[in-house]
Amino acid sequence: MPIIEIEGLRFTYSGSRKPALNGIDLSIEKGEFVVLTGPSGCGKTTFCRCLNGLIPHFYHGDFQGRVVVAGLDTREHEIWELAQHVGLVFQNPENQLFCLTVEADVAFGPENLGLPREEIRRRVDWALRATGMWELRFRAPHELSGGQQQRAAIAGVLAMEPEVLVLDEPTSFLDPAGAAEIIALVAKLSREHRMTVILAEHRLELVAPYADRIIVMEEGRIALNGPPEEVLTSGKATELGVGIPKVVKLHALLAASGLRLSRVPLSPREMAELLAEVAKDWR
Amino acid sequence: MSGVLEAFAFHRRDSVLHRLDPRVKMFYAFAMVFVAGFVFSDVSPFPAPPGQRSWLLPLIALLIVQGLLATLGRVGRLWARTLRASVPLVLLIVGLNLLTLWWPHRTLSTGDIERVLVLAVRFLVFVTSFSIFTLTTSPDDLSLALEQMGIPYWFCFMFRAALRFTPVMAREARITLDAQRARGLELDKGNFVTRAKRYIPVLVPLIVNAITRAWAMAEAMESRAWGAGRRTSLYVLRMRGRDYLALLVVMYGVLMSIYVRMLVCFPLILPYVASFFEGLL
Amino acid sequence: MAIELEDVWFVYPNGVEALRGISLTIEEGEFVVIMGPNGAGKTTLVKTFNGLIRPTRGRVLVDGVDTRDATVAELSRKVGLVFQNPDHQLFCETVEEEVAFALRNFGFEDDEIRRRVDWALRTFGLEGYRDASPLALSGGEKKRVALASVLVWEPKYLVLDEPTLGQDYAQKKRLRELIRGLLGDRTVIMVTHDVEFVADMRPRPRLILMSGGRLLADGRAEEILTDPERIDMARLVRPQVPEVLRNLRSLGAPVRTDVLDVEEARDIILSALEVGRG
Repeated sequence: MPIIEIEGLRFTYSGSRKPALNGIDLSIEKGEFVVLTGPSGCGKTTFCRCLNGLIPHFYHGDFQGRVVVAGLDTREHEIWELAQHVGLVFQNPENQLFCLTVEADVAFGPENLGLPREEIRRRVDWALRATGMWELRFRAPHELSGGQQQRAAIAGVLAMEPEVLVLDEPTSFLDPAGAAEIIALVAKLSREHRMTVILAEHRLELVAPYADRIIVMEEGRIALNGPPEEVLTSGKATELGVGIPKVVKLHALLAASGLRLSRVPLSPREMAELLAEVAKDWR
Repeated sequence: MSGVLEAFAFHRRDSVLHRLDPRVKMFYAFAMVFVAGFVFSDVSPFPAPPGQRSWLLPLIALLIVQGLLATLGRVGRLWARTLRASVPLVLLIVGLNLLTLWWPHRTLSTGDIERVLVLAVRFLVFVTSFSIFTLTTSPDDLSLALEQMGIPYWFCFMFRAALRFTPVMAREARITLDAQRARGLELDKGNFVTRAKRYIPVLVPLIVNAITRAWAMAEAMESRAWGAGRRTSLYVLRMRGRDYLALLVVMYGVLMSIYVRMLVCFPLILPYVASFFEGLL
Repeated sequence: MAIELEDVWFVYPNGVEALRGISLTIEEGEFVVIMGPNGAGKTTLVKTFNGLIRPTRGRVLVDGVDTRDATVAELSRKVGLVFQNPDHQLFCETVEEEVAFALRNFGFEDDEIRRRVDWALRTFGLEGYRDASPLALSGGEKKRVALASVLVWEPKYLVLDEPTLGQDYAQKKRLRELIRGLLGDRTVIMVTHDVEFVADMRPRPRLILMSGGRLLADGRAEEILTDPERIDMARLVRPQVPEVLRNLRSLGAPVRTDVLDVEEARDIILSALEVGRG
C-alpha cells in the first residue's frame, strides 16, 4: 500500500479564480525519496500543504479529489492527527522556532499531543541527536546559524515521529554550507531511518543524486514524473525551464557527439567514473 | 531606551537567587511592593504609634536590602544599572511633587522635601524589587511559572514568542532603515510632523512582516499539532527545600516589618542630615 | 572614477570584526562579483560603498569623496544598493509610488519623475502592475519592483545583494540577461553565493572571495571558480564542470581543469578520449 495516494486533486484558494492545483494523480511508496520541482508558481507549496492537511483545514477553498496519507483521508482528519504521520518543514527556519531554547522548541510538538513526560523526553533526545543538534540544545534560536536553525526545525518535526517528511524549499534562505548540511541530513534520515521524503527544491544539482524520483510540476499539474535519469534528460524538462545539473547537460552533449555512457551521471564523481569506464585505455 | 530594557533583561549566572523557583522570586517582588506601599506608608491597614513622622529611613533600609540581595544574586552591577535607568523618571516625580507642594505658599518645609523623597525611594524600591526578579529569572522559567500558576497556555506562549522575536524584529528594523536610507530617505531632517511621516517607510514593512511572520508561525504550529487537546509539559517547576526556606524568610520579613511599623516611630531624618552637613561646614 | 577602499576595518559595537583590513579598487564600468559564506562580511562591505557603514579605521572613497564627508543620501545618488529581501523595503500603495519613492527623496522634478517611472516600469515589464499593490505581488515580481525602484535614478554604481535568492532557473537566466544589459552604462557589483549562476555569467566578471572579513582572492572568475582550494575555503559549492574534469584527471585522463563552460568541457573530453583510444 502506498504511503501517499492522491486522486484527482484540484484546489483553488478562496478568493482566487485560477486553480493552484489542477488535477493531480500520484502515488508514493514508503521509503521513497521524491524531489519536487518546477518553475515558480507551479504549485509546489500548495501541493506540500495538501499533504499534511493545511489544505483544506487551514487554507480554505475549493477542494476536489482525495489525498490519503498513511491511510488517513486528509479531509476527514484534523491537522494535528495528520501531523503525526506527515511532518512539514517550511522555507524560513526563523518562523518555525518559537521557543527560547532549541530543546523547548523540539518538545513543542509532543507537548501539544499531551504525551507523558518520559515519552516527550525520549522523543526530544532522539530528534536532537538525529539532527546533530544535541550540543546546541540549550541555545536560543537567534544565536544559531541558518543551517542550524533549519536543523532545529527539522528536529521539531521529527519529534512528532512522522513516517513522511515534506520539506518545502528548506535551503532557500541558507548559504551553500547550510544547504549542504540540510540535504545531507535529509538524505541520512531517508537512508538510516527509512523515512519517506518529499523535497521541493530548485537546485537539482544538490539533490538529484539522492532522488529515487523527480516530479516536475507546471501550472498545478504534474508534467514529468520518473527517475532522475529519465526526467532530467527529457526535452520537456529543458522546455519547462528546470535547472538541469551541468553534469546531465554535459552527458547530453557527449551523447549528441556519439559518446554513450552506461547511465546518466548525477554527480561529477559519477560522471568521471563513467567516462573512465569508456576510456579504458587512456591510463 | 535600550538601556532601560537591558536593565530588566535576564543574565545567566550561577547564584543562590538564580537557583530559586521563579514563583518564590515573584512572591518576593510582590511582598516588597506590599511592604513599601502598604506597611511603610500612610496608606495602611495597620496602626502606627503616634509620633511617627517619616518613612524615609525604613524605605532606604529596604533599598539597601535590595542591593545586598542583588549582590548575593551576582547581579549587583546590573541592579545598579536599573537604579540609574530609573533616575530620569524619579527626577520627574520629585520635580512635579516639589512643584505642587511649593506652589501654594511659595515655600518648602523640610517635612515637604522629606515626604517627596519618600515617594521617590518607594518608587525605586518597587522598580528594583521587580528587577531582581527579572534579572535572576530566565524568560523560560518565568513563562513556565505563569503556566503552572494557572495562566492559560496560549497567553504564556504569546509572552514567550514576543520575547523570542524581539531581537529578530530589532534586526529587521535596522535592515529596513538601511534599505530606505539607501533610497534617499533622510530621517533627521524636518520638523516633528514631517519627521514622523518619514517613519512610514520604516514602519509599514515592519508591520507587514510581523503579520506575515505570525501567519507563517501559525502554519508551523498547526503542523506540529497545535490544538490537539490537553497539553503536557516537558519541564516542570518543583519547589524544593531551599524554595520553601526562601518563602519563609520573605514572609518572616513581611511580618517583622509590620511589627516594626506598629511599634517604632521613625523621625524625620533630613534635619539630622542637614545639621550633619552644617557641622562639617 | 572609482570606489576605493584603503585598509578598511569595521568593528561592530559588540566587538565583532566584520571587515579586517580590506584594500580594494573598483573602477567605473567594471563587473564585480563578491562571494563568500554567511558572516564573511560581504554585505557589510557593500554597505561601506554608500555610507551606511563608515569604517572604524581606514577610508572609503567614492569618486574621490571620502564617505565620512557625505551623507548616505548623497552617496546613494551614485551608489544604488538593492537589498536582498524586497519585503524589507516595499511599503507604498501602488507600484508606481514605490518606484517613484527614491526620486521624490532625491528632489527630482515631477515631469522627470513621471518620465523615469514610465521607463523603469517598461524596462522591467511592470507596466501592467502600475496601480497594483507591491505587497500583493509574487516573490519574483517584488524583486523586479525593488530593482526598478533603484535603477530608476540611474546610479553609476549598482550593487545587488543576493539577487538570486529564491529564484528558479528561468528567473535566474533572465536576471543574467538583465545584468548583461545593464553593464554598458554602469558599474555592477553583485554579492552572491550561487556558484553556477556566476559560472554561467557572460561577460565573465571579476571575482572577489571573502571570508572572515578578509579578501581570500581577487581575480578572474574562470581562474578562481576552477580552483577547488579557494572555493572550499570560501565554503562555496564547487562548480560541477571543473569538478568533473578534476575527477577525470585524478583517474589518469590528460585534461585541463580550468574550464567552466559545458561545451568546452565536452570538447576537451572528446579529444582526450580520441587520444586515449589511439
